Amino acid sequence: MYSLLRKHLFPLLAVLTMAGGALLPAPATSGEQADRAVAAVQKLLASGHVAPGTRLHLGFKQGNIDAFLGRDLTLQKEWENLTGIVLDAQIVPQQSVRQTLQNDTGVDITVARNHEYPDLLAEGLVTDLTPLYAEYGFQLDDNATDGFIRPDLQAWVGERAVAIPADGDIVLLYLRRDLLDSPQEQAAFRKTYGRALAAPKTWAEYEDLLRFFHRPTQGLYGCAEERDQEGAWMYWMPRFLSATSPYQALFDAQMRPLLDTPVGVAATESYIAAVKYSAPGTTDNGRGYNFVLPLFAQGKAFATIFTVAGAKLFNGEGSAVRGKFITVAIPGYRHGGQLLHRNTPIYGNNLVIPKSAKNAKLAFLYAMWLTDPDISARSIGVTGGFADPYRWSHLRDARIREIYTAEALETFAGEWATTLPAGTGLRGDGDYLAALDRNLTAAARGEIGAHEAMKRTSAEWEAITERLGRAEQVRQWQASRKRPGGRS
Amino acid sequence: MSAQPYQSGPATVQAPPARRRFRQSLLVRLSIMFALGGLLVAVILLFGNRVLDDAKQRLENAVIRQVQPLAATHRLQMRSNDLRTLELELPMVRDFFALPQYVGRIQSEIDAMSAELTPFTAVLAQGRPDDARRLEEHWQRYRGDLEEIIRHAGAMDLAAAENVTSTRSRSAHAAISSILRDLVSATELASTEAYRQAQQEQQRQQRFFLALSFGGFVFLAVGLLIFARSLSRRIRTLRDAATGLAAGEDREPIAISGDDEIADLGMAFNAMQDRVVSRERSLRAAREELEERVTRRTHALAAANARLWMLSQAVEQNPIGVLIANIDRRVEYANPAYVRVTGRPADTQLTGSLPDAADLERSREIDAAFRMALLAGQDWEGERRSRRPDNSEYWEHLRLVTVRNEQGRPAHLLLMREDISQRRMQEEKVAYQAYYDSLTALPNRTLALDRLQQATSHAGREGSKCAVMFIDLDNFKQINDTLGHVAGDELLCQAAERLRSAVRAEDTVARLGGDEFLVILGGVSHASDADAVASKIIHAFAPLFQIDGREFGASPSIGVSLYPDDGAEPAVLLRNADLAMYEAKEAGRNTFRFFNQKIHDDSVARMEMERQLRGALERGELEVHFQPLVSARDGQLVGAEALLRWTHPVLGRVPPDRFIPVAEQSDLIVSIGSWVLDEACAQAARWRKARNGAFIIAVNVSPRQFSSPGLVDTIRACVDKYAIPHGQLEIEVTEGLLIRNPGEVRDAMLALEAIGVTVALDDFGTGYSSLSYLRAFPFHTIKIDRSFIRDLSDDAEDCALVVAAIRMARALGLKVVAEGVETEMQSRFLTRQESDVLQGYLFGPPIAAKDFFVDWVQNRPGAELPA
Repeated sequence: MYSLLRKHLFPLLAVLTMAGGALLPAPATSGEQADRAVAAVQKLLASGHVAPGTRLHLGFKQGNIDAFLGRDLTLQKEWENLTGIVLDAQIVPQQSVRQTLQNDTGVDITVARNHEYPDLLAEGLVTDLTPLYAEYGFQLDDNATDGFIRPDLQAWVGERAVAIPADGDIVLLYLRRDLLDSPQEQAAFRKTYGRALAAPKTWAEYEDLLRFFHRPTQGLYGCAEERDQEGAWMYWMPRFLSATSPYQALFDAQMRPLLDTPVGVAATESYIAAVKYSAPGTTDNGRGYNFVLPLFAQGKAFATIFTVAGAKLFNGEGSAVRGKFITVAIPGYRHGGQLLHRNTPIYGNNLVIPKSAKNAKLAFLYAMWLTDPDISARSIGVTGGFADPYRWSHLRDARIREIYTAEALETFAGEWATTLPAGTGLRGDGDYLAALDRNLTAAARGEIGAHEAMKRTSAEWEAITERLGRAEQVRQWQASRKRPGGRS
Repeated sequence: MSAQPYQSGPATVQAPPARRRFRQSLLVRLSIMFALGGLLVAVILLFGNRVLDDAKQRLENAVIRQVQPLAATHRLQMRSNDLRTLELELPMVRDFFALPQYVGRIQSEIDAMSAELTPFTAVLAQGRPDDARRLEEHWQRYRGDLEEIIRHAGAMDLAAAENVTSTRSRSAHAAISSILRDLVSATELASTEAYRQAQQEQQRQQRFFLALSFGGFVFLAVGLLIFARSLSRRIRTLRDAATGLAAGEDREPIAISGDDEIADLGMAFNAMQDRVVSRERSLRAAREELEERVTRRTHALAAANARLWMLSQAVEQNPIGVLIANIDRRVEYANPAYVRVTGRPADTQLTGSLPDAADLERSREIDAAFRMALLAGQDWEGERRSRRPDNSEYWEHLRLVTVRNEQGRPAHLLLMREDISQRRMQEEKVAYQAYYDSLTALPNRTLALDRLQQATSHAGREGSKCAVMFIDLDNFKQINDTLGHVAGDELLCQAAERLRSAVRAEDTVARLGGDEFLVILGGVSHASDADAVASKIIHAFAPLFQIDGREFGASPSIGVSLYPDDGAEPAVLLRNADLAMYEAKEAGRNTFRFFNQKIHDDSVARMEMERQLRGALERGELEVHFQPLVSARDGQLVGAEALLRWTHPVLGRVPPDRFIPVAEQSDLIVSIGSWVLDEACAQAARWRKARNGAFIIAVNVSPRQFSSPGLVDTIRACVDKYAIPHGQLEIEVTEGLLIRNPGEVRDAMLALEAIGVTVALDDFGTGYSSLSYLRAFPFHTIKIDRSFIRDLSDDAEDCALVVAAIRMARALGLKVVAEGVETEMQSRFLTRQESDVLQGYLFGPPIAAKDFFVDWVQNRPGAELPA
């Protein structure tokens, strides 16, 4: 029943929420969250809990600066004028935040990906924010006016809040509208495949489209999907999750991996198939989104899969595909005549407070201020950076709609209803996903087959589970399936 | 005389003439005179003030005309350079989502540059239309290039953007910079000319003002002269009368003429004359007192003048440049040193007294502080690098002091300037010596550690790695000892050159001391990067070194540690690289090793053993055991070899091959070795007495003991203390000792021979076993290594080697001791080959002293000592 609601009712509600929200007046709570945060900082200063001249150390990635400090540092200056607390931002490497925090960087607040939360919490690298949310009356609600989008996926691990949502990253499919609309292409496609040229609904249709448009001699590749080992799971997981209805689980109830199965192998083969229609060198080490996204933006690829940040990039000045692309939901599989697809958060730049932070309360209040409906709309509404909408109100903001395109935001809004938690949701997630990444990449490079990749991953997952303690892993796995946002 | 108005006449007093209605009194006439004079002075002062104001205004205008265009040009240069920096950084952006930040900043800088350039070119066009047009054209071209770069960034085509930055935009930016530089030069020339003209105009007006003042004063003087002459004649009459009165002459009343104060004076004089005489006496006394006061005052003034002269000479001859200006900053005085220091005449205004800066950028802040202090009338001091008109540069110490008058109000400004170039040069030299190795000019250990700290901090921020390489030259000591220190220094210099050539310019090559070098590699992504550099260094050392016309090989042993994998602290990284270097040495040298867990574990274990060993002697855990030496001829005991044993309460019996190397590495061997020597000699003395005959005691001495000072003295003290007869204490050394310090070792052996101590070459056959060693050093005994003896039974080659060794020793007159004899067959063979002394388990293992006494000394007679 719940899955039925998810499948049909939630996307409808999301779209209705956006449409309805556009007619609503500005929410009464806008700015209040920021005011309360500033007042709390002033109280901390007045009480002596925070010394005057204290500096707040921020650890952001290079692409975060505009989003978190504002264009021309306007947000930074505003915060410093309001509180007198100086923001000292430093660039952290584009790597797992777990690696970053294992060395004391001295930062008070930094960004983390959703799937990293369980490991960060289990290893004691980040602060449990639940008491701070309560202390400062910071509500993680998802009201349709200006609430957070799916806070259950963005902030929580079990009963504990570990992050402040600051980025909404799920997977979207980008296609070349001009090629889909071309009468010549439509005719040629119908002649070859016997059906109309349209956005794909299934992964098989997607592969047909890639094959059809793959014309390297003409400078056009079928697709520009990432196949870098770092984060390979992100592009495999949507294929795998939608392989059975209501979704395909990674483990059975006793934590036995369900990878070396026909559906696991099929998802992997679909993952591998895209390599044939990609630019040479796509599977080389380090060929992440910096390699594939320009191909699509320069008009050298028919399709790509990325977060909604892709729309911002492709809609930017200088993009060869500006006005020539569409953003649609990722493909799925048909089950008994019903089409089913599942999405999952990838990347993600939500805010976490390291356990080693010297100014944890101050950092939390800065995050509370930054994610205020008003302030956050200004922080998201810039052309640079990869922080994407994460409140429902962002989707109605005129500046943000101009930057991302209304179509991309509507697709984005609808996809959250089909979204399942990121990664495995388990302690040891980093190890599980690293094994999966390694074997998927070996398969993508043709070193092993899809079946062998799943077989090896299953064996490595079993070893990881045994090493971490099967009983505890089983307990966590079963608990994660029952909690809100879990795979129940 | 009849014409004298105050002519003396009969005793009657002439009546004054009737008063006219308007009396031309002296007061009226003097008032008119002073009014005219005052008016003249006022006119001159007003005119002079106007002249000064004009001159000041001209100078200020000249300065403003110089500063404003220069400031505007400088701002444009800054903006142009900022744009260039941004466009060069843009293609290096690692994350495409950060591109809009750079695009936004470039766009903002373009707008700002345009806003600044438009009024600038408008003004420039009035005087230099060609330059204005060229500047505008180049800016439009550069702006077009920048906008193209922005378009490429928008299309995420960084290669195209980089293509533009490395070609077109580079030339456009260079053209703009060139024009701006030319403008700066032209502006400076024009301003200098304007300044010179303003100064000339000021001097001309000064001359005119002086001439006018002179004319005014001449006019005033003539007026006063005429007036004085009219008064003089009448006053002389009065004077003569007064003189006569003063001289006490008998005088008549003087005649009165005129209608002014002098006539009044004449009448008053006549009235006074009667009273004067009576007061003359008291006046004389008063005058004498007054003269006395004047004399005293004159002396005081003379003293003050002398002091003033002395102080003025002190300032005049002071080596520090001194300039004194009044409170309006007009220069009143500058001593000769001021001209010497600055290399130019003193300025007339203090505001212009700073010369050209050698480094405009670095002087800007200090110049601003100087001017601010000058304007505020505050004391100030600072140091600055300046340039004289002859373009020589120098460091000077500036001190500005406000001199206050007795009321505490500023009266003068004192500017002192001292040439401190020598001191600064000395300081820089000291700083260089503190951070650089004087031989190789490489950074020394202090600077290397600082660089390593910076490299780890940078890598920490960037999330990258850095590598530390600890390099030791394998055979440096041999070359140094063979050819001398000069050649050794030459080898170090050449090695430094090769290291420098093997790494990138931004990497650090340092000399830690001796033949130890350190290489710090930044921006390392993987261990394989360091691997490649280490291979490159080894390859660089492959060609032979040319020293004094001879060729030598010197290979490096390299230990590598990586940040953060092998440690976060520089000291830890250095230690781990050092450990890895030792691993490379042990692996055969001329190679490299990365630090790993095994090296760490071995190091920890070695340190733990060293810690335990450090107190072992005091805790009584060490013990000397003795293994019998028997005569090959008749099997009788001739002596014993002292062997060190360590029984640890936890570790149990620790094998000597484990703890002796640790003791050698840590210098503990020196104290332990001395103890063993003393213990062995003491036991030998007891047994010699008990046997009532000879007893040879053989004691092993390590190379480390030989290198420590006082070994011969220690042995001599033992010989004296225990009265050891000649030839009954034998020191056993290994070949390794001979290689290290051949000269010193030979001297030590000769010194031991002189006191009757013999020396044995231990483990003979396992090393080089060079015949030249046996000939070059005064050995008495060779000890054939147990490995040859062990294989005697079944190895014909070893049999031949042992026979050859015995024959060779015989030929050189050396005694032969065979170690490790375990079988009767070996014993018979060695006896047959005329070996002198046998040692091994066949005769007895090493045992404690008390057991040795019971088993070997108590009940056995001594054998005759072999020759």
